[in-house]
Amino acid sequence: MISEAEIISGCVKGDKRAQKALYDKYSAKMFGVCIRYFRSRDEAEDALQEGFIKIFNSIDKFRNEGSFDGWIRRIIVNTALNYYKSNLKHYYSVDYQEIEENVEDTKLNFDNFSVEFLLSIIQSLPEGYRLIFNLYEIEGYNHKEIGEMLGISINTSKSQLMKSKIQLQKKLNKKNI
Amino acid sequence: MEQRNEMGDLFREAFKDFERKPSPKVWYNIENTIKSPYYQKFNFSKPMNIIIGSAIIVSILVILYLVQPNKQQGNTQPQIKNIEVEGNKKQNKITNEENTVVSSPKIINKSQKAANIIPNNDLKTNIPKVNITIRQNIKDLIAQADNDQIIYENQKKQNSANTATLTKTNAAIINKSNNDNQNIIKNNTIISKNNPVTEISFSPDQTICKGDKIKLSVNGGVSYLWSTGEKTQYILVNPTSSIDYSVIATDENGIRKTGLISVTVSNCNAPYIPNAFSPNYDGQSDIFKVYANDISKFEIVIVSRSGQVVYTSKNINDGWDGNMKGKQAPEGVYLYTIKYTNELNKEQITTGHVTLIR
Repeated sequence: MISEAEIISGCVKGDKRAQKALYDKYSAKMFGVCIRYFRSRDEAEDALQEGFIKIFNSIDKFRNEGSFDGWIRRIIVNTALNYYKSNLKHYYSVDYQEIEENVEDTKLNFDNFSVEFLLSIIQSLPEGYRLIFNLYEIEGYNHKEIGEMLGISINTSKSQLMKSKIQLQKKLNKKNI
Repeated sequence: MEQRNEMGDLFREAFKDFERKPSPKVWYNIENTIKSPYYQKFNFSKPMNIIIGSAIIVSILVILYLVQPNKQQGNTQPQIKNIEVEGNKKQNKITNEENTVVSSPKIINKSQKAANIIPNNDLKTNIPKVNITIRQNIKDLIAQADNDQIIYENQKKQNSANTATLTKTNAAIINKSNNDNQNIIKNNTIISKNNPVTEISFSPDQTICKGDKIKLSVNGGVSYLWSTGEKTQYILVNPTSSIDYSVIATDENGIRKTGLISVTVSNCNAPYIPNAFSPNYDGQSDIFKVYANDISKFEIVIVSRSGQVVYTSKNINDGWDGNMKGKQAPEGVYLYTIKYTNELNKEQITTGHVTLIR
């Protein structure tokens, strides 16, 4: 087993074996991230590919300030967002000021949902909701960060998150497969 | 509020260690794209590079040469004809009759390569025109989309209030938006004739990998009947080969809509075997090798067309560098046989051919 430090220094030198080791270590995990951002596997693979190319081409810029895992994940997430950049304005152009609908008051039965099912309902969300839900709830960015990443206001980010949760809630309530 | 956090937790927990293997081809693409610090992009000592290099220079000169005469034409929309000129002699005629420009000869012979690079000599006149059209289209599309959305929002509000009363202006908007849907307005109540009031839509067509499950759904409607016999709004399927699913959805007014969702199944985990490689040490496709996930007992044999074995290996990470017995193998087609045990513990044999390009 090559250590993480060896992988990084090998990749900086352009060593093929280190590059393969890095890919083998992180590709499945990062594809698991990518796939939440896209409806289709093909798009997710394109983003993964582009993300890894960026990682290899800029690995010399990695400073041991945060975790390597986190650095990689950030590049992958940003690459995925880039696919939506040109359309982002459109997704968030409608200003949702208040949320009229109420979340139905039912308890979620956690055991009922397979990860496959949860993935499929994330993928079925409209793009705008899907991005914010992923970024806030799963990646753990805050509204300020999301606002900067997507070029939207903090309030838009908040209201979109609410909306996305209402949609998810409806989908979860409707059918527990 | 508490419940919402619960939902966040549910998803965060579910995806914490979520992994999914990408297709083997992804690594092939990455490996052949990343820059290697040891790789010199342009090596002018190689004759091929000199030819390509000079072809590019010649083509740039030719483009400059071709574009110039049109500049003087100002705003006229010139019609361009090609004249073929033999040899290296270049000819450039401009006639001003009826705003017609005759220019830009095709060059044959020695600098043929350069001429091929230029798609056409109407470069200058056509490209800006195309751009403008595209921009206009995008604008129109957005305008169209915005428009739809506004109308849709209006409709939604009325629907949620269940047979809401309409003002004349609202009714006008809805009628205008549904030219072909013909809404009937009775006693200030809107009833849809052709289309359900709540829009029913279906999952788009999907492509999945063999073994993956996929959820198909209907948006809107109150009752459903799938071709699988299920009567739920969502169905979870894992077809082993490409298949179409149909569903009949019925809305609250008893109006039906039928949807057809095609699911294409591809074998994403199948090894990716390139069909060509070029062992010239440029960092791109220098080695012929097999890209695969989760396979064991791998074995490859490559033979030339005359039947001579040029390469064998039992390690999937190794590949053929295009040499045999320390010498460069000639360009051409080579045949391979690959044996391996796949993730389902089944032995597989694949044969095919690969082209060696120098």
